[in-house]
Amino acid sequence: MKGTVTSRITWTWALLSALTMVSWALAATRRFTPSTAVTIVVLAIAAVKTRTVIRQFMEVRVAPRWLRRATDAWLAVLMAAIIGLYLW
Amino acid sequence: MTAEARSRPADAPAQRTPALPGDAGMWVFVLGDMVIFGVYFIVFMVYRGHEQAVFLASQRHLSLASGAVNTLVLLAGSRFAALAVAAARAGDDRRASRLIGWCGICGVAFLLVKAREWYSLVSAGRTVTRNNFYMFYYAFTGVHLFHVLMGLVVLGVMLAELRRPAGRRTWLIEAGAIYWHMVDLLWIILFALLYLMR
Amino acid sequence: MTAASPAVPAVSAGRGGRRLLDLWACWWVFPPFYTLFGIIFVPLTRVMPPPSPAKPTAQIVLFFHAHALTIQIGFSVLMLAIGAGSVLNGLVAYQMRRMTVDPVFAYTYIATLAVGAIPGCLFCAFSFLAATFRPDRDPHLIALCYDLGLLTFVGSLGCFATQYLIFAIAIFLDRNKIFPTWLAYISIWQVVTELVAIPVFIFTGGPFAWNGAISFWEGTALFGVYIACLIMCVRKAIERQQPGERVPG
Repeated sequence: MKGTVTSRITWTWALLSALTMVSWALAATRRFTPSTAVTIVVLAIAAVKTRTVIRQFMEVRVAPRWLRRATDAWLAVLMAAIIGLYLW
Repeated sequence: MTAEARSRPADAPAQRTPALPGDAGMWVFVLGDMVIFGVYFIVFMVYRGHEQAVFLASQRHLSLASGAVNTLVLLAGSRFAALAVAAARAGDDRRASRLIGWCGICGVAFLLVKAREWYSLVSAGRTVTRNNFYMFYYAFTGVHLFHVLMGLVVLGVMLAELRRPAGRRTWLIEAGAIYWHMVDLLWIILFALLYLMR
Repeated sequence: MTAASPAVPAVSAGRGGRRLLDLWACWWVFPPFYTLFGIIFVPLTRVMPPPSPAKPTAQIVLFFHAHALTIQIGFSVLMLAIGAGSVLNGLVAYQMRRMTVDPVFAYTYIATLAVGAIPGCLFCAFSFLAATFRPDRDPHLIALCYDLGLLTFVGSLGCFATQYLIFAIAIFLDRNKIFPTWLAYISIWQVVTELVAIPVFIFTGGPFAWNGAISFWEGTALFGVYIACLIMCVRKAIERQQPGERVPG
């Protein structure tokens, strides 16, 4: 039982670290020019990472429904606002 | 209030409402802090919209590597915190304490990288009053740094709790870990806004 | 500070003969005090929301000329009313004495609020009153009063950081659970908002100025939440209090 719990944690961490490296590489290749594509991708990756931390590490995945909804709503509103403000 | 949140009996006999991980009070804090930072992020984006060129030009002087390393460091810290909770639930207090120690080391590493980053920026004359980008950069990373410092205190409280022989409160360990995950996720977004977006 | 002795004979005064009349009398200071505070600082003296730090001197003089009467009325009333704030602080400190924590927490709470009262609102009151006292004063001196008043009003938030921290720690350590734990966490949010109010001493515009979206608006909104929660929690604490309870002085 404990084995599956700890391996889930470690896999989650590995995924999050890999996504971080991807964003890092992407941003490094576009250091000096504005780029909508890069921005959307890094924001999307950030959203995925954030939701993963919330669901897996914070265990909201197995939490009451109101908490799942509240955290998802927070992320959705925030990302919509950020992307919206970026595009306009 | 925390007692009822921790061991919620079934709403109806047939279905079980999942228990809230950690402590209801800590969730009030975490959700509220997420909203507070959310406002910060949106204000940042509004100002960025007015001065895109300045923000882009200033962003180049940030150390992308430092930001990325700090992100990885906090992610590692979160992993240690999550493993510590698992160990505490399994009753393995020594392992939990060790893991909390490692999380603390990650926290300190974050502070050191951040300090070095600030030092090199300030030495290059890029101070908080240089332009709006740097104003936001120092203000937000500063408030976040304060959260990391508080996080170290929280780890200390968790360690103290594990040392208690009887009546040990697992929810306190869980709540402390949830706080650390919040610190982690706020940095993930800060990293994207300050260092990555173009 | 309210009497520590709870042995007040039951007097029916619209509360069904409940005791603790003195505590309830103190609690009922909350609503009128904060309402009055709002009326004074918003429509009368125009301190909330603060006028811009980027205003040129000529406009600052115009500001004071335009609002001189209401500033004088508002802040004169504040002089009389501010004492009521001490009643509220005493009431909270009294509840802190019912906690299992050391008395030093309650004393620190009172002391930090005593430190904060002057920069927190009285300094602003005196500065603005001085500015409106002699309308033909040198404009630069009037602008100085403006800066002094608003810098202290918004920038003194840091004075209260200790109070919020002490309050939060006391709640965490208290085994009597006088106040719920979530109130402690809300108190810690206040500490965070104090931090982002520090930059008001540097910026004359933007979100971290004394009228900024972050330093002022977000901070004030959170303060409103905190006060509302504090008022309700103190009420609950009094409701749960047994009339015969012995509370150390």
